[in-house]
Amino acid sequence: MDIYSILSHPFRRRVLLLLDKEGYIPYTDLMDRLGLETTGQLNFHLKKLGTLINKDKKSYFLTEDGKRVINLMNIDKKILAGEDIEYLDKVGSEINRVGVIICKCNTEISNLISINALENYIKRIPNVVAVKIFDNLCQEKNLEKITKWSKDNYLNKIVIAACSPKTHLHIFERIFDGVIDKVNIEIANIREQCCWVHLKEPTLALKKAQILVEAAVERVALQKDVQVKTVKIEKSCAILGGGIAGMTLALSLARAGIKVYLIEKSPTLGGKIARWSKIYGMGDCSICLMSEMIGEVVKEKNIEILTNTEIEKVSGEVGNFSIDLVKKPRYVDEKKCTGCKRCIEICSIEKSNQYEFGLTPRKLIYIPYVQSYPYAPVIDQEDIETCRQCRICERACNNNAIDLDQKFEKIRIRVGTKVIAIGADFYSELKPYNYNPQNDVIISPEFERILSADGPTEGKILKLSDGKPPKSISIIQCLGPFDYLAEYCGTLAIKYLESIYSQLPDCKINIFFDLNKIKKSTGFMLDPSDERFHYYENIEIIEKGNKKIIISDSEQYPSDMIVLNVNFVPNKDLKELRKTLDFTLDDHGFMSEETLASGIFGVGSIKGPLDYNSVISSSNDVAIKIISLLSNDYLITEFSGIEIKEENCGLCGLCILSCPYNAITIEADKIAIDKFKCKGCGTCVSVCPTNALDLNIDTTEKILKSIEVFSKFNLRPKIIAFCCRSCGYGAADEAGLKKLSYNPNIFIIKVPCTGRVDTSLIFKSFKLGFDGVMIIGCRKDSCRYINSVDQVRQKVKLLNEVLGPIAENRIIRKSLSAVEGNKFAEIVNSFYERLSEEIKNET
Amino acid sequence: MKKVVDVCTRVEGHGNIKILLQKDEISSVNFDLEIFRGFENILLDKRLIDTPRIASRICGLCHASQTIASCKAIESMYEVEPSNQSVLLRRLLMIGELIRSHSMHFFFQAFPDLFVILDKQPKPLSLNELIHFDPKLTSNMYELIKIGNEIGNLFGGRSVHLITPIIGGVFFSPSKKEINIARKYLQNSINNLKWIIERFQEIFSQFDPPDVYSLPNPAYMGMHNDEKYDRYNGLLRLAQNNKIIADFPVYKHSQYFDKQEDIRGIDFYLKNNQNILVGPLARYKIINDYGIDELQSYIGLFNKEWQNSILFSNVIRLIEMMFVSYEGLSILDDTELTQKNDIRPINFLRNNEGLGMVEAPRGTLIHYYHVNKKRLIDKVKLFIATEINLPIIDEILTTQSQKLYERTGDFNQIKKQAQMIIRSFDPCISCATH
Amino acid sequence: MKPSFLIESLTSCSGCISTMISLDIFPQFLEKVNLVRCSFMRDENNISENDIALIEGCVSEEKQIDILKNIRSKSKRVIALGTCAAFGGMLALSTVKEAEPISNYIEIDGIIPGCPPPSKLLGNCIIRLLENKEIILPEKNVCVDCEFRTDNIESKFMKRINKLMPREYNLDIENKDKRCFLERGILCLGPITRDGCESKCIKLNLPCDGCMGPIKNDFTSNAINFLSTVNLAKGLRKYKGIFYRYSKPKTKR
Repeated sequence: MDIYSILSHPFRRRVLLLLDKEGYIPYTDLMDRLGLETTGQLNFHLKKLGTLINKDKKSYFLTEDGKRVINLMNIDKKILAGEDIEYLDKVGSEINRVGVIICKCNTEISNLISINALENYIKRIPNVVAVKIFDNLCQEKNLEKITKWSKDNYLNKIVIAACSPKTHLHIFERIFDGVIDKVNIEIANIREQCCWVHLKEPTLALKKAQILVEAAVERVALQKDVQVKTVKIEKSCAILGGGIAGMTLALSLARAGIKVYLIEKSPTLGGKIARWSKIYGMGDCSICLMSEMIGEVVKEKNIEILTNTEIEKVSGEVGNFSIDLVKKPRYVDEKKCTGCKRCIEICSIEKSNQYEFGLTPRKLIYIPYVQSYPYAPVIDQEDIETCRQCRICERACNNNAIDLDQKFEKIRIRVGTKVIAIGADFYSELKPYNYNPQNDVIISPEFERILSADGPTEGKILKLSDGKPPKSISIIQCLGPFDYLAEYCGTLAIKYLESIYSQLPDCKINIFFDLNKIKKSTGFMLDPSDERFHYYENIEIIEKGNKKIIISDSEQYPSDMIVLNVNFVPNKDLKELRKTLDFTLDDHGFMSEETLASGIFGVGSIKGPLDYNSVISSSNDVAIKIISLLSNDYLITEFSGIEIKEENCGLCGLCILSCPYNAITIEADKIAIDKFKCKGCGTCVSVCPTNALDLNIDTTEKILKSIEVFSKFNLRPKIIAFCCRSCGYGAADEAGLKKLSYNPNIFIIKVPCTGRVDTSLIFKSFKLGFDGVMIIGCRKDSCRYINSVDQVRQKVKLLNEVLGPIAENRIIRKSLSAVEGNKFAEIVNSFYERLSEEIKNET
Repeated sequence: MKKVVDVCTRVEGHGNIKILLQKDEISSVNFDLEIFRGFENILLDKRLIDTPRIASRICGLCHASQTIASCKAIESMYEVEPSNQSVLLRRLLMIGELIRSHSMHFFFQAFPDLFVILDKQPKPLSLNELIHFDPKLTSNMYELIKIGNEIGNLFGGRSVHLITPIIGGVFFSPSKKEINIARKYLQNSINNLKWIIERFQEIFSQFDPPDVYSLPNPAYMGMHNDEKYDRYNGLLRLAQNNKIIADFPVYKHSQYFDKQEDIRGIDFYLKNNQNILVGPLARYKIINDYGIDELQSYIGLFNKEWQNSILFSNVIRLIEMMFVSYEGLSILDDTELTQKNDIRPINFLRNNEGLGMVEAPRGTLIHYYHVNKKRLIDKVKLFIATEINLPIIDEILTTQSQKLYERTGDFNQIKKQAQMIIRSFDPCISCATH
Repeated sequence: MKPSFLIESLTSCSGCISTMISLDIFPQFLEKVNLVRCSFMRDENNISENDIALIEGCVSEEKQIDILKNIRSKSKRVIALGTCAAFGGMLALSTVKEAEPISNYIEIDGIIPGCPPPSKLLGNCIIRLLENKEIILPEKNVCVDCEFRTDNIESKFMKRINKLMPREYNLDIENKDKRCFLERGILCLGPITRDGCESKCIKLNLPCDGCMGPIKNDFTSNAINFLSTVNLAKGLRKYKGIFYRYSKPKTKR
C-alpha cells in the first residue's frame, strides 16, 4: 500500500481530516462537505482510501490504520489540510521517506567505526525518517520486525549500509520483497569498500562511511518509478549449429517436451565429427555414431531441422526471442529428391570438395558426404550462376526435384532461449610448416579423412602425393596460437598411433611436443621415455629433394608424411554473430560463459578446445539449465535500461553509432529503442548531446549527486573511481574481501559499464575538487557489453590528446577482472602517491 | 601621485578615464582600456581556414571588416584573387556594417552630447529624452540601424559575425529578389539620411564647435584607390594640412608604423612625431572629395571651424553613410553580382606571411599573419583603428583637461568633458581590446 | 509599473548588445522598460535594483566578479546573453586568459545562447522576459532541422573526418547531392549544438560551427564524447581550435 498515492488527492486528504475531527460522517454529508456532485467521484475516492476508512450501517469512520496515518502525518498536517497541494501535485515531485539500516556485520563493521556516530550523522541527512541497526541482516532473522519497522514508518525507500551489493543485494531484495520496490533499495558498501580496506584508519573510515551512506540516500531519493515487464515464456529453443553438441542438446530438450529449431548454416547436419574416422575410446567409427544420432534427431517430432539456414536478426529477450532466419536455396527439393545421384553423375563441372578439405574433387551439384542429412544434393550459392547457364541436371532429374530458380526463404521463429553450438575452426597459419597436402604435409582433420573409410583413400594410409604407403610418419603436436596444450591433442596422438600401427606396423612414427607449451601446462603428457616421443624447443620442416626432414632442436628426422596436429581456434563467425546475438568472448576469443546475457547459452567447442566427452557433458548441463528456465510460464522483470525523451531528440544518431547491441533505431524521424535488446550499459547516454536519453535506474542525476556528496570529503588528493558493475566494482570488492588496505581518499561510483563514463563526468569531478579520476572496467575482450569498454578508451585517448598533461597525470583507465583485488589496491595506492607528489610539487 | 578614475559611458564596451595628478597638476589624462582579450594569442596555432571566423569575434560592430581583412591576409598568402562578384559582395557587406555601426554610434552615443557641447544645455539627452526628442529622427535612425542589419542578413547569412565571407570569396550568390530588397533598403537609407543631415544642420550648424574639440593638426591616414574613396582596395595615404606625406601599399606599412608582437600599442615612425588619426574623418580628409556633388554640397554647409573639429566626424559619418548607400546602389546594378558563385581554390600556400587591409567603419584595419611549417599561425599582428587613434585621443584629453583644470579645478567637469571628447572619437573598445 | 532591466557587458565584442539594438522590437522594448544600466546607451551607471539583468560577455578579470555579485544581489533574474556569458565564448581559445561563463560565479536564471543570439530567438526571449515568463529554448540539436540529415548512420559517421570547412583541400562546396557534412569528411558540430539558429550556416552549405553552444554539459566534453566515436583525422585530434571553441573546461583544483 503506498500511502502517498492515497494522499495525493486533496479530496482524500480532506476525507481523512474530516473523519479525524468528527468521528462518524454519513455518505450524503460527506458528499456535501466535499462539494461533490456525483456519487461516482466520491465512490472512487472512498475506494482509493481502502483500509484507512471503514463503514458501519450509516457512516464512515477511520480504521486503526487510518488513525495511525493521521498521527504519523501530524508533522505533515499542512499537506493533509490541503494547504500544500501544489507540492504534492507537482509533476515529478517524489515523496521520499528513506529508512536506513545499518548492519554491524557481526562486529566486522562495528569494531572499526562507531555505529552511534554513524547513526547520528545519518539521522541528519534530509529525507531520512528512520534508522535501524542490525547485527547481521543477511541472516534473515527477525524478518517480521524489519517489515513492521518499514511499514510503521511508511518507508518507500531503503538504504542498507552493509556489505557489497555484489554479494548480498539479492538477499536484501528478498527481505523487502513486497514491501519496498527493488529499485528503491540502495546499498552503501561500507564493508568491502570502506571498513575492510581502511582498517588502520578508523576515523577516516567513519567519515567515509558517513559520506557513502549520504550518497546512497541521495541516490535513492532521486529514484523514480520504473516499469515492470512481464514476459510470457515461449517453450521453445533455437540451436545454432547441427554438430554433435547441437544435436545432443536438441535431443535432450526435445525429449523434455521443448520445441527445438536446429539451425545449421551448411547443407547437412553432422558438424566436424561426422568426418572423423573414429572417436577415441568409443570403439565406434564416428560416422556410424553420427548417423545413428542424426536418425534419432530426425525421428523426434519436437525437432525442426533447418539446414542451409542463417540467422539474420534477433530481437526480444529471455523467454521470448523473435529470430529472423534466412533459408538459403538448396536448389534441390529435399522432399521430391530420392537420392538417386543421377544429377551428380551428369554434372560436368568439378571443383575441390570443401568437406574433404580440398583433398578430392566434387561436382558442382553434390552431396557433402555419405551420411549427410538431408540426403539430397545441393548446389552452393557461389556456383548457381554457372549452373543456371547449363541446367543439364534440372533436365536429368526424373522427379523434377531440381529447381535452379529457388529463392531465399525468410522464416521467423519465436523461442524462449537460444543456444550457439557452431563449434570452432582449425588453426590455419601453417606457412612456417610448409603445409601442403599434395606434398604430404597435412593437418590432423585431413589425416582423419585419410583414416576414414569414406575418405579419399578409403581408409588406407597412403601418401596423397603418389598413393603409396608412407614408411615414416611424423606428428607435430598442438600447433596453434595458445601457449597451453589442448587436451584432445594428446588423445588424438594416441588415436593416430593406434590407427597407424594397426595398418602399417613397420611404419616409423615420431611425435613432436612443444616443450614451451608443456611447461605451461599442468595436465596431460605422454610418457617421455618412449623413444617415439620427442620434445623440442624449436622445430622446422625442410625439404631436401623430394624428402621432407623435420629438424627438431638440431636433430633430423626424415619423414614421408607429416601430420600437423592443429589446435582449435575460435570460430571466425563468432565476431559476426556477436552483432546479432549478445555474448562475450574470453581472452582467447572463445565464447565466455561467465558473462552470457540471460537466455543465451553456448555448447561445444565454441567455448574452447573440448574433446568428445566434454562436449556431451556440457550439452547435458546446458539442457538442464534450459529445461528449468522454460518450465516457468511467465518471467517478471523490471526493465532497467534506457528511456527516451523524444521531445529532446535531434536525431543526430550518435547513440545508434555507440550502441553495442544495435538496440536504437531511427525510423520515420522518430527514435525508438528495442527494450528487449537494450542491456542498459548506458554507452549511448554518454554520447547523447541532448537530454534525450538516460538510464532509468543508474541516472546521470544520481551519478552527479554522488560525485557532489563525495566531494565533501576534505582530504587531498581526492580520487573518484568509476567502476563498471561487473569487473571494476568486483575488483574493488575483492580488495575488501582480501582486506588489502588502500588509501581512504578514494570514492567508488558504480556505473553499469565504463562506457557510460562521459567526459563531462570527468570534468565535473575536477570542478568539484577531485584530483584524480580512475576508470576501472572490464578487459578489452571480455567487456560485459561487447565493445563499450573500448568506447571509454577512445574518449580518454582523445581527452589525453586535447588536455595533454592535465589528463595524462590525473586520469587513469585500467582494465581489471573481478578477482584482481590486489591489482586494484595497487593501482589506488600508486595513483594516490603520484597525485600527492604532484600536489607537493605545486605548493 | 594621485589617480582619478571614471568609467566611460555611452561607449561600446568598457573603458575608463584615468586622470593622473602630480602635485596638484594634471600630468596626464588617459583613455584606459582596462581589459585586454588577447586575440593575437587566440589566433596562435590556428589553422588558416579557421581564422576568419575567429577574427570576426574581435568586434561585434565591425565584424565584417575583421572577417574580410582576415580573408584578405590569407588570400595574399595563397596569392589568390577573389572573383569580382565576391569583391562586390564583400563591399556590400562592409556597407551594411558601416551603416549599422555609424547609425548606432551617432544616435545613442554622439548625438545626445551635441546638445551640451553646442547648445550649452546642462546635461546630455537622457535615453528617454533622446527617443522622444524627435520621433521622426528616432524612427529614421532605427530604420538605418535595421537597414545595415538587413544587408548583413541578406548577403552575409546573419547580421553579426557573418557566415558567407570565406577565404577565396563570398560563398553566396544573391537572387534578383534579394537584390531588389537591398536596393529598396539603400534607397530608403539615402532618403532617411538626407532628412537627417538637413535636420542636423537645422539644429546645430548655427553653432560653432568649441575650441576644445578642435583637432591638433594630426596626420590623417586612410585608404584611397586612385584618389577615390575606397574601403576595400587601394593604397594607404598619410596626409597633413591637405598635403600628402606618403602613399604606400600596405606591405610597406612598417616604414611608418609597426607593432611588436605581444605588446599592446602601435609604434609610429613619423618624422615630426605627429599623431595619426584614422576613421571617417581621415578617410575624407585624405581625398577631400567624395566625388558626388550632393555630398560635397552638404559638406559645404559647415564652416571651417566645423571642418577642423573632431565633432565634424559626426557630420562626416552621416555623409559617409550616404556615400556608401550610393555606392551600394551602383554595386547592386552590377550584373556580375548574380552570377554563379565562384570561390577561388586555395591549394598552394605561396607565402608564409600575409597582410590584409580594409577600412573598417572606425578606420584602417590591418591583419598580419605568419604561419609555421605545420601551417599553423605563429605570428599575428592586428592593427586596429581605435588603437591607432589612442595617442591622439590621449593628447587632446590631456591638454583640454589641463586647461579646464586650470580654469575651474572641478573634476566633475573634467570627467564630463573627457567623456564627451572620447565619445566624439567613436572608439570601439572591443576592437581596441582585441 | 515598467519592468526594470539592466544590461551589462563584461569581456565581449558587443555583438550581442548590437544584435539586440538591431532587433525589430527594440524600439518597443525601450518604451516598455525602465533601463537602469546600459553603458552602451546610458550615462547613469549605478547598479540599482532591477527585475532582469542581461549580461553579455565572459568573466576574464577579477574585477568583474564583484560586479557580477553586485548585480546578482540587486536583480530578480539574471540572464546570460550570448555564448560568452553562457559558456565562456571565443576567448576560451586563449592560452593566457581565462574565459569563464558567468554561471561559474553567480547563479543564473537562464541563458540566451548564440554568437550572436539569433534575432528570432533573442526577440522571442525578450518578449517572454517582458511578460515575466521563463525563457524557452529549443532542447534539440541542430541536426533536427538539417536538410542534409540522413538516417543512414553508418554512412554518416564512418568517413574519416579531416576537414574543417568544405573547401579545405578541394572544392566540393556545392554539395549537390545534399550529403551530410560528416559523410563528406567535414567536421560539423551540429550534433552537439543547440538548435534555434534556423541552421543558417548549413543552409548556406557551410558546416555548423557550434556557436549556439551545448544543450547539456559543457562544450568540450560534448566535443570529446562526439569526436571519440568518429574517425577523426590525427591533425584535428590535437587541434584546440575545435575543442576549446566557445568554452573551456575548468580543470584547476
